[in-house]
Amino acid sequence: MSLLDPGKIRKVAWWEYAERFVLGAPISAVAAIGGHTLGDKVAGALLAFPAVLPASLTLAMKKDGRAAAVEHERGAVFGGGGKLAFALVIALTGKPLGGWAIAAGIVAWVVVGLGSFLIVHGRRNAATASLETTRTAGPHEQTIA
Amino acid sequence: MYWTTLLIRCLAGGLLVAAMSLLAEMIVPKRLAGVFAGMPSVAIASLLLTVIKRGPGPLPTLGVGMTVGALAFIAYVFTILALTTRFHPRLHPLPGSFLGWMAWFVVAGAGILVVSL
Repeated sequence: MSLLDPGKIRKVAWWEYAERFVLGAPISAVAAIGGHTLGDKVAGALLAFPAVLPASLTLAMKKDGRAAAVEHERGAVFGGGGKLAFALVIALTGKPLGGWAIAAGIVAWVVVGLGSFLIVHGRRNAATASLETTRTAGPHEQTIA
Repeated sequence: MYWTTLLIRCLAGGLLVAAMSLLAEMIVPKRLAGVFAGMPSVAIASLLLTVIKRGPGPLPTLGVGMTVGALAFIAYVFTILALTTRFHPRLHPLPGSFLGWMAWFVVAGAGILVVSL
């Protein structure tokens, strides 16, 4: 099964792009204003505000239905773990690495966010496959195996 | 100058959110698409602009704040999951998502108070 279906982009209307832009732009502005008036800690917290998720949930719900939207939410748990790793790396390496801490943070997001997703789903798929094998093999073949 | 920076941040944040939600739309396994919803796209753009404008000095403090925000993000995701699957299974994920923002504000607010002590 292919992981990407670029054809789906053609089904998205121009105003749906605008809708997503409108959700993301104010968050960046609020984070900047928050940093200017309330300090960098508040600005940092606002940078982790969930802006992309409601935007992508509207698309998932509209195009693929409720079950897909809930799957989307479940996946966001892994993305959130990655975001936490990104933030911790920025906090801990910001001083020694300078601007390169952002690159290190992106690596941390990939390793923790995508890595944990692949480990959990790899195990789940292996468990499902093993269960299917047991069901199709029957008790005799199981004994031989 | 302040307004120019604000405008650039708005444009960068808006474009990245639009790009990430479209990437999520293209990804076929929806659970994997959800992983990308947690990608710190707005943060990456904002942090890069901060480094360009103010240097890397504010990065550790921003990172501490973002750690609190990320913990609040995880609380947000668990809240919307609980709302849309357990407590109110017929609730549309979008209003559920907006209700989850309240959880984000509570956890982030409490966290900021703790790290500011």
